[in-house]
Amino acid sequence: MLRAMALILVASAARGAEQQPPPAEEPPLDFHLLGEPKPPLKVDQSALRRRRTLLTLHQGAGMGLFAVALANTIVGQLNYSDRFASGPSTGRYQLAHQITAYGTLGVFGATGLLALLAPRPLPRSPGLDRIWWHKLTIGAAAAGMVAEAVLGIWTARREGYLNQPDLAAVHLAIGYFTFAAISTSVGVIVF
Amino acid sequence: MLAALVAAAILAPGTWVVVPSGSTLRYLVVHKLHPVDGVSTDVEGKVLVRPDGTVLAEVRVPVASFKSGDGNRDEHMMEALEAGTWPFVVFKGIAQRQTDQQMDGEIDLHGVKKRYRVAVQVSPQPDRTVRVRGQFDVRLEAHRIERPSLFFIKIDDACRIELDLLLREEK
Repeated sequence: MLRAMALILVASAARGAEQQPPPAEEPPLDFHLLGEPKPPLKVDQSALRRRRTLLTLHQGAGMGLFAVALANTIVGQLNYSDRFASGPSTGRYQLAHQITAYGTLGVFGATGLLALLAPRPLPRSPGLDRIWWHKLTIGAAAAGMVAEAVLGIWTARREGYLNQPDLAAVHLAIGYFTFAAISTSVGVIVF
Repeated sequence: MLAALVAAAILAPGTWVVVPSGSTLRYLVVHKLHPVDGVSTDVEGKVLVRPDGTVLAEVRVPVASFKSGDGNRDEHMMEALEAGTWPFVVFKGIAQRQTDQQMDGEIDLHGVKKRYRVAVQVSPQPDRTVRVRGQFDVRLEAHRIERPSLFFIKIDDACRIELDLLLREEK
């Protein structure tokens, strides 16, 4: 918290620094105390730029994924409640749920593809950084997404069978898990 | 403060070298969503104290050595700083008099050299080394750096640089 407050002061401090009067006579700085530097890490600038472009698109697609996954979770809950939780089923949310479900799958695939296509021109140092957690949680979301798709199609085919409500309940639970995993994955990048 | 320390022969005339294992260079930037800091421990530097009291300093850090706790972000910073073309950040500073508490310096960042005035604090350590701390603020756009963004929001233009250097006298 203190660090955050200190950082927020950076902008105002910089403004203050600008107001400092320049030295009357600038001292010469044409000296060299250090020898030749050791060879720096080779950086493929164009690959880095391409990576950034794809990851920027990945961020945009990720925001879209979060929105459509949220919509799918809400509509999925409404569809479950309509079909199995209360009174006779009207089926009014069925089409909407299909649209948001396939939409979520499509956007998830496109978002993942953008990240996978991004070149990695630099060696990555080992360790549990934000990206490690991002990948872990989005991996869990991917597993949930596959399970949801399989179970959703299976549940739809069990129309009239006694175990359909149970399958639907499991599908719903996995849906919440998947949305939580997507939210966490976005959260570790944002916060 | 620097003057008092020089007078007390803490930074005796001669050459002092940065001890990398005890030194860091840190940048701090602010994004609307969260502040970010990156640290490098790969610091090279020398300080020359002349008999007339003039203090010259040069510090060099590879751009690729900064770690912020997010590998993607570090790559993004390297892209913004064009590390392939400008692989080092170099600071040179000079204090003309022993009474100076600050250095007039120049930072070479992204191939653009800009003059800054850096306030420094010097403190002796029990093992005859000397710790030097300083900080100053740069504006990224003044160094022609395209500010990195997250979720299409750019970081602020202001960037604080913090030096924490451990010096030992060169034999």
